[in-house]
Amino acid sequence: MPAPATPPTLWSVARRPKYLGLLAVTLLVAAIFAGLAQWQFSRSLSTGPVVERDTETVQPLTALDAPQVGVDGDAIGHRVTARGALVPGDETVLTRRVQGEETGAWVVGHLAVETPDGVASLAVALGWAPTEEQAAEVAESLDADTAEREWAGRYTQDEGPQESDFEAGERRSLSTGDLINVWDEVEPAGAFGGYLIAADAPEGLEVIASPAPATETGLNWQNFFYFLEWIFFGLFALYIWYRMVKDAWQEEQPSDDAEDVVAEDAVTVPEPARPEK
Amino acid sequence: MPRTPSPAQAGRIRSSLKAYRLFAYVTGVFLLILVVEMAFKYGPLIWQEYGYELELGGTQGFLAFVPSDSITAVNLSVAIQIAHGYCYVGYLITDFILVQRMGWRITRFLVIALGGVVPGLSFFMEARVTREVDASLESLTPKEGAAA
Repeated sequence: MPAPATPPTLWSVARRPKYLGLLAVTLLVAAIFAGLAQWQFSRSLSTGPVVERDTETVQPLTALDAPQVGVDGDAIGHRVTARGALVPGDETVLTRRVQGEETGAWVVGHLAVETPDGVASLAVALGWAPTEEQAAEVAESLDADTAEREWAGRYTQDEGPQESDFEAGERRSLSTGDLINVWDEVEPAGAFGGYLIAADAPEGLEVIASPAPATETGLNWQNFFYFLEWIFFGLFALYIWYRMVKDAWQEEQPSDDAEDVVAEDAVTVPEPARPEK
Repeated sequence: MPRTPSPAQAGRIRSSLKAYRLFAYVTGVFLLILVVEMAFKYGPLIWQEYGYELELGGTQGFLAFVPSDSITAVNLSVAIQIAHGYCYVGYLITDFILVQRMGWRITRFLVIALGGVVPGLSFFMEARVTREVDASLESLTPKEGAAA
């Protein structure tokens, strides 16, 4: 192989117009990839607008929602108070209600609350018991409690009645439309569309867990990984340019016969000594 | 002096060739399926309002081409796209490892990578790569058959 008088250094190969041109192309590609990375990063932080609303300031229920109309979106999940009394004999037991990791039953009462339109019906989930029997016992004992007082809790949208297995006499979901049929009679001003999860449970029941509705959107991991991926692609583009230069440089190194003999038995091919810069 | 693989590397080269060939076949087949899929999805748009996608276990039967918007069960078309994406990443990795171990120029990596993008090309590319690697491995190892 005819070797040039002085073998080129890696640095001198890199400065050739061909490789400078390739570097420009590589940098352009890397810049595009960086742009895509930034785009994915911003998407990973904000996918889906977050609606900030205050649900934790206690307000009178009548200020947020009215009977006989669909549940107002802003009222859902809000902590509220309502003044009223339980209607005796209208308690219902819902089965298969989950509390933490346990499945038990809810006692649901019929609350007659005062509203500007008159007295209205409001379903109230009073508490949770581990068994249906226990819940039924408490439900019966509540018939004596007819005192009007201030009720506090979280107001929630009701559930569809489909979950219940009526044929088996089992009621599983809290549907106001369904409860209206169970109650003796609906109060004159009608019934609220949602229901109240009582903040205090009567004796014998546990308070139903009702955390504040989640409003934060966390990091979107899919977009975050796309972001890392684009960063990697950008760096890889630069690495490929470096390898192109190195390949060209390596091919122009003079072949050393003595080194070749060593290479025959060597475990790995010794790299040609890189000249000091 | 171009780098050449050493005899001791033969085993590692062989295993990386095997991995590369596996991904070349799988990616190649997925890509051909994707071409058919795209033809069904976008082709009909020329003369009608909707294209077709492949639905698995829907109301139209176990496996059926249905209008794109009507899929309620498993969208097999999308599943194939995702699977192809992962396979192509595997193809790139095995491509890179093979090129590294063979001591080939990095441009070779790019050419093989592009071969996985053009439908059908990966099969020809794979055949050529395998032929070259085999030839280079043969020249590395002394002919055992001839010596005996």
